[in-house]
Amino acid sequence: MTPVDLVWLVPALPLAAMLIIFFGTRMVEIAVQPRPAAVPAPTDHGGHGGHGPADAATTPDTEAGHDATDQTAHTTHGAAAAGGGHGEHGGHTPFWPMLSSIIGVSALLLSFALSLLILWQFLDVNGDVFHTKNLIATGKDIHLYNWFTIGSLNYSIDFRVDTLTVVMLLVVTGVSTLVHLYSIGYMAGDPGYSRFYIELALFTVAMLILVLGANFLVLFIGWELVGLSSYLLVGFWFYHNPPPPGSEVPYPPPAQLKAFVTTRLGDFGFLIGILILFTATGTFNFIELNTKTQAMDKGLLTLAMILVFCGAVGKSAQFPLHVWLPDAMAGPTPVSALIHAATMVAAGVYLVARLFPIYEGVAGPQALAVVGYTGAFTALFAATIALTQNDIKGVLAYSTISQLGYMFAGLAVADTNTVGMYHLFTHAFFKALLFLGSGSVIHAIGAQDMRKMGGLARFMPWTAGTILVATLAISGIPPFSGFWSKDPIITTALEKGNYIIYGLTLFTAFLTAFYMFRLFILTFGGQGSFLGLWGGHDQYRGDAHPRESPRVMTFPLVVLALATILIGLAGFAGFNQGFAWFLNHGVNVDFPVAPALDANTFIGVGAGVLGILLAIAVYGYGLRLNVALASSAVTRPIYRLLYRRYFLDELYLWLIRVVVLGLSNLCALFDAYVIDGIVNGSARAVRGLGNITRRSETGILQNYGAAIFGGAMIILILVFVATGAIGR
Amino acid sequence: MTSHIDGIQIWMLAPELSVVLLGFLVLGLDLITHNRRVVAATALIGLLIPLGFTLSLVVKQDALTPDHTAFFHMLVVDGYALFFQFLFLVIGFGVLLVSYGYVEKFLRVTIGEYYSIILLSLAGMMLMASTGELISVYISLELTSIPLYILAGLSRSDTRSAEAAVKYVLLGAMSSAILLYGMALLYGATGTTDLTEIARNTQAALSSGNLVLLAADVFIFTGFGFKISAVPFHMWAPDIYEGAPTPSTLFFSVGSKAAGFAALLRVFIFGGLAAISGGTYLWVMVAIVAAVTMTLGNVVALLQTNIKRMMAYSSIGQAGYLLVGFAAIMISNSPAGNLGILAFLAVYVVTNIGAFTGIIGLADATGKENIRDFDGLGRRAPFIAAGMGLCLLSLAGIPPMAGFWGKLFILLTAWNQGSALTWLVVLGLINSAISIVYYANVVWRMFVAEPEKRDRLAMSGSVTLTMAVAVVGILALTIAFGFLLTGLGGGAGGLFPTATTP
Repeated sequence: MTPVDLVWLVPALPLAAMLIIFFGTRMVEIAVQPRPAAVPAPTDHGGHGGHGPADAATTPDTEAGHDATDQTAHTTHGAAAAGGGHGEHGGHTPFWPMLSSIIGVSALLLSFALSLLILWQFLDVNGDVFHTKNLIATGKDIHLYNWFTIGSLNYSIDFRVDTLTVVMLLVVTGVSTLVHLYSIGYMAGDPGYSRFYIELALFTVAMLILVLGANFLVLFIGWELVGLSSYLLVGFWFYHNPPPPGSEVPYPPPAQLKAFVTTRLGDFGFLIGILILFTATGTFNFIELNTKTQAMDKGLLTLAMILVFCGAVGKSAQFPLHVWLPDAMAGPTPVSALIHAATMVAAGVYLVARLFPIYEGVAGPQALAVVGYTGAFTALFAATIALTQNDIKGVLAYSTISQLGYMFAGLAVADTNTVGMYHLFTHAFFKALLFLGSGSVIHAIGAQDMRKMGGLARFMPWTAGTILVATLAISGIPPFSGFWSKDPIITTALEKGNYIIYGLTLFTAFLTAFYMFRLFILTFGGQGSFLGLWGGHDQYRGDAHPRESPRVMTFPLVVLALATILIGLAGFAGFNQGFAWFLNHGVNVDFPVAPALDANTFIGVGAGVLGILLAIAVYGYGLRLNVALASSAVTRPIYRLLYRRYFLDELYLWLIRVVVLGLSNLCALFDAYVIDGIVNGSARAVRGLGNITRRSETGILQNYGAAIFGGAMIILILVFVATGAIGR
Repeated sequence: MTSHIDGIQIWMLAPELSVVLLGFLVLGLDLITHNRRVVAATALIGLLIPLGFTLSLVVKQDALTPDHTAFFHMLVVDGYALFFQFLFLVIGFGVLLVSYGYVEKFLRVTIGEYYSIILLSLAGMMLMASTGELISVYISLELTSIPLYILAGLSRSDTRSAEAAVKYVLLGAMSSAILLYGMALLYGATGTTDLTEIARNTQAALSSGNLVLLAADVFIFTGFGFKISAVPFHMWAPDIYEGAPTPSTLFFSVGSKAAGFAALLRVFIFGGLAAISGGTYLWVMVAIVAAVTMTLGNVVALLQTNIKRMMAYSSIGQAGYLLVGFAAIMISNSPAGNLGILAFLAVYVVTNIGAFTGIIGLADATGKENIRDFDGLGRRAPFIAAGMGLCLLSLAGIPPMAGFWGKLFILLTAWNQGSALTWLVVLGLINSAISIVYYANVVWRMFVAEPEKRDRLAMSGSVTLTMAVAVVGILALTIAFGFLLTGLGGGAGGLFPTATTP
């Protein structure tokens, strides 16, 4: 019994924790706590009880938040952000909910430890410790059970552990553990504390099932569970409805619906893609698909792979289905960290990485081209929106979309999936750090609008310091981890001669550095401080009393910052080369080694430095470029276009109102007159038949007896006649 | 075979024996204490003893007598028998648990009386699946039936209940007479009541042109057809389901039906009667009965206004699907059809318990049992309504519920028999579509229709607990349907070897 045989424990432990909290501590908590009549629904039973108030209040109008945005766009005094109010609990967590979180954190810790053991076993190539030779090359299939078999088609529930899975297991359990830990502080005193841990554990379990699946069947189960649990978590504060007037952040119920429905659009294509592959090859299994797709029609396969990519577009929030992700920040900030770093959005990238052999080797080049151009375009597109946003989590949300675009571009341009996956790996840490850090800020001042921040660095040095590390990393500045993963994407695009993707990603690198430092200076620094970065009391523009967050919250920040720095420093020792070796099943592949200090690297880093300098000039030293651009007659429309996110939300709303509802009205007419006519007709026929037969049920005993005897006789005669006439 | 009775043979009878003793114990306990909880707890916890015996028999199958028979071939403890013993114990547990509140509220009997009657009938049902000889088949049938007649009439103040009991007794007697007649003919043709001997002799008897065997087959089928409420022997079911107290109805719809199928398959397959269909057209009989049963059950269920009558017709329809599997067995004499029937029965039992739990819960709380009384139950009792909705959708065969897999498997087996049963499969699918209408109607009423009163119904703990168990059971069966099929494979196939060697 080696660790890898126990891999099912990795999702099973959080699942068990979830069940224990659900049926144990939460039930006790409800039982011991007096029911406050006025508070809506905090004592609901996990999932279903909670939908009552939310259902009643859910309106399809997801635009209210943006309308409000428009009103506040040109007034400097934006009202306090609604979401910020949640952060200011700071209350005391009673015993039973506390126990829930302890159970959750310990289960995740165990899972993480087991994942580390599995990593060790994979690295133990010669089998010195675990007596499993060369697992890194073969991976391991774990057959759980056959759901059922019809004919030759096997619907089996299988896990597969290979190097890609191990990387994802580490990322998911690692980040999730820290998020679980951090939430002890962030969610303290929240009435739904235990429910939060139930849903958080479910989210993690779903993602673990997704990455462990050996076939589309299991992957899809995880895929849908991820969708469900993100729905639950984004709408965690479903009773905060409607939003406070002037609120700039989306409020939970529409946001959760938007997340669910938008990703569902992508899933539609995903399902069709899976079914095409299944029909053509007769298998869901990834390994079998690698070989069996070679016999498929090239065009059909390419189409199927593009459709599968549609699922990734939805889940990983790529253009044009990215609109749900910024709204998803209506959930608690730890959830945003989990969604953006490790669980939800990583699923799409993982999917493409998992199917990479088919994308790269078997399908036509168009499939990967679609992936690459979608990614590169999204990277730029989201970065431009991020330039103008005022909500701290909003900027981070668009930066995630942009970075995910990098990952897809990286997958598309390279010969292996290592370049894209490496960016996913490093991004998971620094993005979790950014979100948890912003959560720390929101927790401290109770606002999300960066115009009400500033100078926070001296109030909360730990938060500011760690976020600075992450900001440098995402800007691609050496030696931080982001540099080692982002630069290879840009360099590879150049090496492969894909100048479009190269140009897009390079320019985006500049924009990224700019808007991330804009975020940092607006939040922590201000004019008059050192480079505008490290502000103090003079620069604070809000009216709260900021203080550093408790240790349980800063500890995960420090861990993540250390990871970001150490992974970066390890890059000098060839860590990324080792990562590539690992991900390629122990075979060395050519991974663009960034510190070769050639001109390309200088260009990439230079773009980032340029962005940083510009941000410092504008926001740290008061170069009024931004004001000029926003008010000049020429550029003002562009500014507005970016600020309003290219009006895509409005466009989609219009599409839904006019096209979709129009179509459904047409269908309703067809249904009412044609389909119902047929159905009612046949129903009337069936009812008529029933009325006739019902008359036989007289209630008179003699009739029943006659039926029994008569029936037996008729059957006997029939059998005799049939046997006599035909058989014998 | 050993010629004397030893400890191993007693052990093989222990599950049934302990159920009978438990019945007596509960009845006696009722005289001593008036604490209902004690009696109920004794019965429910006591059921773990026969369960333990059954599991011990499952685990230690090698330690049994070599041919797995005891008491001179009267008792056969093979995988098939053990599956049904387990199923009946599950039924017993569910029925005892769910009826706890109802008995106190509506029946003027003590809980001990009620429980002991059910337990005695349960012992009969367990024996019906594990007898290898005609006389003991008949005796266990009567041991099953007589308590059922009492159960039908227990609601003494209700004339419908009395009417139901009288009808049940009289019609039950008639069907028993026909069954006995069939058995007598079988004995006459083969000269033995031992099913293994009969299996050996039937081919010879038939090839010598003895058409008496066909008559015996038809009569025995009629006798069990009454138990499983196959058309045209079904007419008792709606009246008696409606008139009897609701927990009793639940017991009829799952226990009596499963026992009927257990004995039918035992006699026909283990007794080799199915094997003689080679040159004959016995399967036509089964196929026609299956077709009529499905269609009548589902079509008439559409028109019902009383939920118990609707469930009666629904259970007739479900029997029709099971008979499709039986027709497949009659054609091919292969275990696949049997496997389908056993899996379907396991799912059917759990889902029907869940559905009836919802009905009993509503009756408990409001005393009403019409379909329109379910309006808005989703708001008045969300958990019960959700569980019942799940069960109804499973009964309708909506994927991916367990009921869907069960139905799919049976229809697939019939489909694989070639063109002879194609029409029956198509008819089964049409019936499936019809059945969605009346099952979904109840679900619609529970979750969409406005209730008369928007109060919250207080559900008793026993109802909630039963529903929880049923829901967990269905979900487990849905997820682990593959396990169910693998696990049942041995039990389903075990009936056949004796029949195939003439």
